[in-house]
This record gives sequence, structure tokens and C-alpha cells, in this order.
Amino acid sequence: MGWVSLSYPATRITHISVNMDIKEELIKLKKDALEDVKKIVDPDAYKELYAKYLGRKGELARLAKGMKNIAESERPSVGILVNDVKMALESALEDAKNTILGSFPDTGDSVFDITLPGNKVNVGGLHPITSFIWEIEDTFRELGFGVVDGPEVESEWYNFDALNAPSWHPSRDMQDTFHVKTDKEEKMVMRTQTSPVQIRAMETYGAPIKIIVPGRVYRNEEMDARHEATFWQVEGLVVDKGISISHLLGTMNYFIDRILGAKTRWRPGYFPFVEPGLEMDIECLLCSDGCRVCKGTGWLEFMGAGMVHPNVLKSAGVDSNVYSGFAFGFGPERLHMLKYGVNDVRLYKSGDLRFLEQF
Amino acid sequence: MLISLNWLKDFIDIPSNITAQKLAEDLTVHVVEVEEVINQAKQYENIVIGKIESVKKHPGADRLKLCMVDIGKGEPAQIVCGGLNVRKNMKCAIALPGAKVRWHGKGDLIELEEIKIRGEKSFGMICAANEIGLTDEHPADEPYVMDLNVDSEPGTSLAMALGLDDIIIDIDNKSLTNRPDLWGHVGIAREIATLYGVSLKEPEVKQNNYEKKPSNANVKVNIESEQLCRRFMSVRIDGVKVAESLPNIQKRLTAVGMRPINNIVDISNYVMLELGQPNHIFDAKKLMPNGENDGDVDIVVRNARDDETITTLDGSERKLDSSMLIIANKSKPLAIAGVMGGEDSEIDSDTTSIVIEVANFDPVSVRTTSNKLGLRTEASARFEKGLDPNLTEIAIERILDLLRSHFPKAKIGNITDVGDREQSQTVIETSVEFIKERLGSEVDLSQIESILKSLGFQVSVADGSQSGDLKLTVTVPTMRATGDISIPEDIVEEVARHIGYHSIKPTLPLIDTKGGDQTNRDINLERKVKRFLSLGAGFQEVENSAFDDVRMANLIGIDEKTDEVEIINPLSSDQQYLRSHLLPRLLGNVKDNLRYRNEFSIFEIGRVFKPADSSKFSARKGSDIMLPEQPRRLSAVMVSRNKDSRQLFFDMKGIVEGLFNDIGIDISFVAQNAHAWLCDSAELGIVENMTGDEKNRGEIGLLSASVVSSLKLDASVVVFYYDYELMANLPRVKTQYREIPTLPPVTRDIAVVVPRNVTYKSMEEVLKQQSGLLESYELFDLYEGSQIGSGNRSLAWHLSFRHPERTLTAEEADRELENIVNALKDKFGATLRSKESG
Repeated sequence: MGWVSLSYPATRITHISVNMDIKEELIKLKKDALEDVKKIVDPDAYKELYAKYLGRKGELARLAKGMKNIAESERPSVGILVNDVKMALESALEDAKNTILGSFPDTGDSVFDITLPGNKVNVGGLHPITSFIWEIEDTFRELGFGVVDGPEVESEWYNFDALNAPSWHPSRDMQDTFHVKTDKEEKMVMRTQTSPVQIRAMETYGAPIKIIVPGRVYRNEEMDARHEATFWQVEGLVVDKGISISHLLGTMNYFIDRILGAKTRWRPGYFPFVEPGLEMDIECLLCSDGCRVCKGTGWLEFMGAGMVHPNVLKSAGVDSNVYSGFAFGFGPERLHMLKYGVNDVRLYKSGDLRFLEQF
Repeated sequence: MLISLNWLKDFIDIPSNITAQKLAEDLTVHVVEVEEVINQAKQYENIVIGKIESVKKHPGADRLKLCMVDIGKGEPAQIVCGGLNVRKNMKCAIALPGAKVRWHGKGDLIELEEIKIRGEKSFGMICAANEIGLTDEHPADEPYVMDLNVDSEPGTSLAMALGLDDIIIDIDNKSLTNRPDLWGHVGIAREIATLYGVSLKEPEVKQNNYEKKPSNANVKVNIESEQLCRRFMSVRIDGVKVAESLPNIQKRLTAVGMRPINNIVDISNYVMLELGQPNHIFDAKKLMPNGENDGDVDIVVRNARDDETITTLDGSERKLDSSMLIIANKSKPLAIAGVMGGEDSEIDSDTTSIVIEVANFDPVSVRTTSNKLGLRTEASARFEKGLDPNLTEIAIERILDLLRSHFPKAKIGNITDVGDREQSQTVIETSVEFIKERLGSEVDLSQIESILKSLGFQVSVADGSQSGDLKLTVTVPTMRATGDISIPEDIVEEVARHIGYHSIKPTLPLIDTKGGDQTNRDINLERKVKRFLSLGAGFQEVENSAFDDVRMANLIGIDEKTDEVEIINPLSSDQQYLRSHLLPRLLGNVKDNLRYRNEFSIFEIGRVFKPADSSKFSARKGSDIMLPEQPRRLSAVMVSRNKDSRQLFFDMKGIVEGLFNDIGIDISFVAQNAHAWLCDSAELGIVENMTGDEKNRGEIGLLSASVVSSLKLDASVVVFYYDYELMANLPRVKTQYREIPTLPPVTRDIAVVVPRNVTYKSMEEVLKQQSGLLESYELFDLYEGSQIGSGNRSLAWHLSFRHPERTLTAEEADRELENIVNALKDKFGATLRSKESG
């Protein structure tokens, strides 16, 4: 049994007049043969055509035999023509073999249908946010940043007070906080931001320091397609002598360029733990001239940033007269949603394989 | 907050080359975030005034009418309409093809086309108010169309006919959190003036001659709670008449989304929106103890009593408490300070005398009160940002100005002005060098000065040092000194945002790195584990909520009340506890995914939370108060409808062995019945308890039949969990290169029959001990069946012997084999089933 013939090409039966000039016959043969080659769809047809034209008993061989009947003076030019036709046909058939059918080594009787699906490898997958965070971490590690972590149940002191947000501060209302039951004298919360790790890291390592903090944060918000009570945040902190806004812009522009290749826009923003405070927008990933997601502006809010407030340095025991720094924070889920068009943030924590396996 | 461009133009001349769009972009990049620019005229494009010439019944539909409408084009246009009130000669808003309308006031805007309705052509539509967003001005909605009382000729654009020629800038309130000075048009105008270098025309306030001594005042104010009210200004005006306010005031209020009510209330709102100073106007008569027409008004500003209530202007009765500041007369509360006035003293159509209140209340108090009452108002939003105590003066004069223009004959009393508003000037010492250093960019003294002065700061410059650094002494205007600006970094921000962040050249800092060295190693390990499990072993990583699924937790023996950390204010009662184990949520994942899959494997690495004290995290540096323990855990689950539990168990065991081998940690397994939920009487003791060090920190096992059945899982489920924190710290097996052997091995296969209760592990020990030349062994067959007698099983190994220094002979290998067989016989009563040489 051979290859399955899907559609058998109609090969033309060529009647050659005995009176026809051999050169004309050769030209006609070439023309007909090239037409036939175009119709090859499977190996059977290829083999048949090869035999028909180039085989030992094929058309070309038959015509070449007629050489002896022509005048000696004509022979060189006819010879050249025979050669030309032969080469043209060989080349056309070779092309047909390679481009239309791929290679098909002689496998005797067994069918080697390369269009059958490959064997499934059972590879699992990382959570989409994991791979995304690795990419983010790698970019910052190339710039010499360390990656640090902190507790998710945090004291109010680290989560708010040390970050220049005393109890009366309106920013505490801006973040709906989960309060944790404790019989201790310190109040405890589910951290609303990764920023408390700024303080913990400076306490541990002092200055200069250059870190990012990917981690989960919590907000007491009704959940819907756009709001999750648990989400990721990536915090960053750089403190040294002479750190400036220029360094903040340079670092973050580099990062965004590497991760998204997008343009950025910086504007004033307000966060109690930085002064000046900035917000960074990125070019809308979904449109070029305004859409619903970017509210027609062409820009998407991406992160908060700023120069570390001297009170924050003081809380962490770093001398604000000597050192200055910048800090930033953003949510990788939001970016992931934009990048891949995910329309429901709750999917990330659903454990639904039909979602997770897509990335 | 909505800002009207026409209103802004009272205070600044915006350069003619600045379009509204450009202005919005500049505001966003330099001042506050603009969410949207609404061009009123553009909203009503292709909507014109039409005059209905005739109305007749639609031949094909009972409820529809055919209207011939003059739209200023000579020939009247035929429009099909269902409006109940259409009649001849009525002027209407006609949306022509191309106009954007909201069908029946709902959904997205759609663009009209010329169509046929039930066989009759309709050239556009006659609009109801809610179809073109004019409900506020024309309250009757569809099926009544707008009946316009305008003089404009048919064909005039609707925007022009209604005077809708403004451009509205919608500012994100969040970006105004720290800017109390920007909550009115003047504040925004000041920033724009600075942006474009134009001058600011502050609102004209005629300095009046009224005395400000409380003794002569007609309104006597006593501030009892001085901490919460720094200033209270008040004045009584007699001889007002309630009516509609002037058209320009109505138009502007409407433009920025505030519905006009009457002249008195409109003026109050107008001044708030212009200057950012909330204020309140009472009906004077209603403040008097017995509703007298004249006499001094006595007002007290005090904390409410716990039993007091007030019905606010929105008609709700509010329960007050002693933390709330109120304005009261002798008998009752009149208003909740800074939040909302009371219904009892509201302006009504009979009001002829009024009392104006313009005060400065404590921001925290207003915010707390408004939060407690769940009542956020335009006033509270402004007060809670911390207003300038000097703004009351400008505001009260502005209110009086506007009242005078409405009521030229009104009698204006003496102004009361009480409160302890003494405030020291905020002066900041900084320098040009400091500003440059923080920007990381060059900036001229002249630039700094012009920005700060235009924003209302005073700047004096001194050449302070030999280095040529210019010292700056900056006096902060009171409107910015209520918390917004107090340190040199704040001055840096003013300069930075006005020169524009885009004008600062981005550079990368060059610093010695420090921090995260240990944790970098930690994330490398985490990556290794995650890669092995996902890409190597085919598991899908999942991430679950930190709030435990209590039902699932109970199934595996967790008592949330004693084992878990509790949230005081959970989102819902089923999210009240933090997970102390990863498995409950993973079991939820298993149940969910079994709806779509027959076979899958999942894992998670994440923090769990326990009430015990953490050894790692304290509540403050150096404090001995510790946070709850919150270690990371690793947990994995394999699920299959195709494989039986035991097959799956060994799949999991192989993966776990591979994982630890990859990391270089030596582990062993001890069979144990540790938990009821991992195996029960129906199962054999196939829980394997891993010993990573002396303590047992992980387990592999079959989910017990009782858990499987109570979750109605029709599949085999094998779980693995491990104390991930341990992984980082366990000693690693050192990998050492061994010469690749050049001498050939001799291989032998054996199969022995032993009683069933002899474990593989014990036989393995014998293999290892009995021959020093046994290089490797591999179990290749396991058999139980009638051929070898019940109670027995047969195990078969490939054995490979090799001598390190010379070629091993067949005889030597056979001797080694003999030793092994004899030892198995002695120890376990093994019988040889077969022996083959390889």
C-alpha cells in the first residue's frame, strides 16, 4: 500500500506526430510536462510523472532515441535542447517533491504521514503571574537590584505609621484595610501595600540599598471582574547619596522599555510616603488613538512612584540629611490583563485550569 | 470635580494657541489628572431646533406619529415619533442623521441614520431629554419629548439655542487629595496662570466697611469646641426674596453638574465651586427660639450629645454622637458642621432673612463624622482636605457681593468673625543646589522664583556660602500651609512638576548594591522548585486566596477557631479566617477542575498563617511583640480518573524524590498513619512521612476515602505537602565527579519470592550490605498471584557488578549474587524464583 492519493491528476496523453519537428516536440513536451508537474498533490502522482517523462521508457528517452534519425548538423542543437528539457523537468519535479509534499523517504509499506499530530508532552505550567514576576525580577536583577520579601500579616506601624501615614491620615481611608484579630498591644492588618518592606529592608540592610519586593497585598473591597481583595504588587526602593528624580525616571523608563517596549508619561501624584510624588502612565496597549480602556487619552495609569519622604527614611533609621532615594509600586495583574486582554481579575485566583493553561 | 472653561476665563486669559485638549494634557502632566474633556457643543452635533408643522397618525403603527418638521432647510422633514406630547407648532430638539443619541436613555451612544420605520421614512428623531443627556434641565423623560421654550429659529443648533457653549474639564478627585487649594475654579486658574506665565485675576471682592467685631454683630457665635473650629464668620441679611438665580449662575452650576435650586442656595454653591470654601445659608427666622422675625441670632458651635438627632437637608434623620461637631442654637442642632445643614432651618419660598455661615472646621473631625454617617458631601470633601482659615474672609465677601447683585436693597448686618485662627507662617529654608540635586537636572534661579511666586509663595534669595550656592527662604501661602507644604522636598515638587518631569533627563543610578543577597538565593530555589514541578513533572501552578475555605479545612482536621488567624472585618463570613494550610483551597481547585478534566496535577507555594508568634517578624524593630507565624508552604495534588490511587501514589512519590534529588536534599520516607484524612481504615498504611531532617515536615498520601466521598470526588487523589521554609536551610548533598568506568560490568537478574509483609526497603538494605561490588540495582518486576502462593510476592532486580580496578570475572559476579541470595533466604525466608545472567 502506498500513500493515499487524494486527487489523481489528469495526465494528458500526448500524441506526437511523426512528422513533427523534433525540436517542436521537445518544446511541447517541456510545456506539457511542466503543466502536469503543477498538478502533483501526492507521491503517487510524482512517481507516475517521473516515470512518464524522465523514466527509462519515458517520453524524453523516446524522443532522444529519435536523435539518430536527424541530420548530423542538427544534432548538437537538438542535444542541447534535450538537455535543457531534461534539466527543467528534473528541477520542476524536485521542487514539487520538496515544496508540495515534503520529503518522503521510501519506507516500504508503512505509512509515514507527517501531518499526524506530534505526541503530547505532559508539561504543566507556571501561574501566569509567576512567569510575569520572574521577568520583572530578572530585569531589575540585571540592574543590580536585590529581591526581598516581608510578612503579609503586618503591624499597623509598618504598614502605615512608619510610612508617614499616622492614624488620622486620609490615606488610611483610601485603602480599605483588613484588620487582624490579635490580643497583642500592636494593631495588625493584612498589608495593603508592599511598601512596609521598604522599612524592614532598610532596617536590615541599611543604606545604600537597591531592592524590589514582589508580594501579595490585600484590600477590603467587594470583588468583581475589576476588583480583587488579594492581588500582587511589585515595590521598589533605591537609596543612596545623591539619588534624584532623574534616576527614578531613568530606572523606570528602562524597565518599561524592557518589559513592554512602551512609551511612558510622568505626572504629579500623591502618596504620603514620597515627596515629590509621581505617577507613571504607559501608552495604551490596546489602541493607538484612544479607546474605552484608556478613556480616550491613549495613556494607561501604571504605577505610583516618588522620592522617599524624609520621614520614611527616619522611620527606618536612615539619615535623611545624607541619603535620598526613590520608590515605586505597581500591580502586575493589571498589566497582565491589559497585555493579554483578560477581562476578569478573579480568574487569577480561581485555580481554573482552562484559564491558567492558556499562558 | 468638574471645572468650566468659561468660568476659568473670569480669572485668567488662556493663550489662544492652547486648545482645551492641550490644556487638559498640561493640567494632567503638571497639576492634577484630567479624566475627560467634555465639549458641550460637540455632544449635540447634528441636533437642531425643529418646529413641528403637522402631526398625523402613522398608517402602520398605532402608537407612532408622522411629524412634518421644519428644520430650517425649506422643505420640512418627515420624522416618525412616539412622543405622547408632540403637537403642531411645538419646538423640539431634532437629532438628524449623524447625531449621537442614547436610545430610550439607556445603553451606549449610537449614531443615527436615515431609516424607515414600519414602512415610513424618518429623517432623524425628536428627542426626549434622557436620550441626549439633558434630564437635569428638562426633567420629563421619554415617552415625552422635550418641549423647548426657545426663540431660536428652526435649524439653529441645539447647543447654541440652549447656550451650551462651555467646555467642561473633569478632574479626578483622587488626584486632589493633598491639594485643598484646588477645590475651586480659582485654584485651578492659579495653576494654569503659572503654567502659561499669565497673570491671575483673583475674584473681585469689594472691601466693605462692615465691622467685624462680634459685639456689634447681629449673629452671636460661641465656639465651645475650639479645637475643631478655628474660625467662624457669620452675617445676617434681611430683605431677600427667594426666586430663580441669574441665568449665568444657573448655567455655570448646571455646567459643572450642580442643579440650580434658588437664588440663595445657588449663590452659596457658586461661591463654594469658585473658591473652594463650603458655606451654609440658614433661614434666619428658623434659627430664632420662637421663630421671631428679628432679634439677634445666637449660635453655638459644639460637640453633639450622644442622644441628639438631626434631620439633614436630604430628609434623613441622623443620629449624632459626642465626637461630631454641630452648629446649634439654644434648643437644637441646626447643622452638622462641614457636612450638611438641617432641614428645619432650610431656605424656602417664604424666606426673607438669612444667616450666612462661613467657617473653618477641623479636617479630621469632618472626615470622621462624614465616614460615621456615611454622608459624603461637596462640603465634607473640601473640609477634610484642610482648608485655609483665611479663605472664609474672601468667601463671605464674595457671597455678599453676589447677594447685593441679586438684592440691591437688602440690609446687610455686621459680620461676626470669631475663632482662634492665629497661625504661624510656614517658612522653608532651602537652596538652589538642593533643588538641582533632587531633580538631578539643571534649573535656573529665575525659573524657580517665577514658578513659586506665581503660585503665591514669597521667595527671598541669599548668597549663602562660598560655593556660590544660593539659599532660598520660601514663605508658603496660607492656602498651601495646612499640611500640603512644609519641607524643602515639597518645594522641589512645585518646581519639578511645573518645569515638567518630561524635561528631566532620565539617568541610571550607579550604586553599590546591598540588600537581598540572601533573598536572591531564596528566589533561585523557588524558581528551581516551580520549574521542576511545572515544566518537569507536568503540574500546573495555581494561586489561591489567603482566606481559608473553612469547610474544606474542617475536612482535613483544621479547627479554624483555634488553628487560624481571624479577620475582624472580613468581606464575608466565609472569608473570615486566614489559611493555615494550602490544601483546603487546593481541594476546592480539585473539585472545580474535575468538572472539566479527568486527570490533572496542581501545586501552590504560598504563605499560611498561624496564631503562634513568628520567630522572624516583629511588630516594630526591636520590639518583642511578634506578628503571627506566616511561613511558606509547598503543596501538590495529583488527580486521576484513569489511574488507581496506588499507581498515582508512586507517580507522586517519584516526582517528590526527583524534586529533592534535583535540589540536592537527602530525604527518606517513613510509613505512618499520621492523619485520618490522609488514609483511613479502608486504606492500607500508605502514608509516607518524609523526614527532611529530624523533624517530620512533609507528607505524601492518598486522600482518605471518607474525604473523597464527602467531596463527591470520583477520582483518585494523592496529596503532598511540605514545609517550604525548611528547604532553603537543609544541607545540600555535594555532587562529586566520578571517573567514567572503562572496565565492563557484569549483570545478573534475580527474582525471589518472599512473604508479602517483607518491605522493599528492608530487602534493599540487604542488597546494599551484602556486596561491595554491586554498583547499581533496579527493580523491574513485582508479582503477586496464585503461581507463587497466596501471602507471597515476587520481586525481580537487574543487578550490575563492577570492580573498580580490574575486569570482573563471571565467577566473581556469581559469588556476589550467591551471597545476596543467601542473605535474603536467611533474613526473609526468600526462595529463588529464577536467576539469569545478562
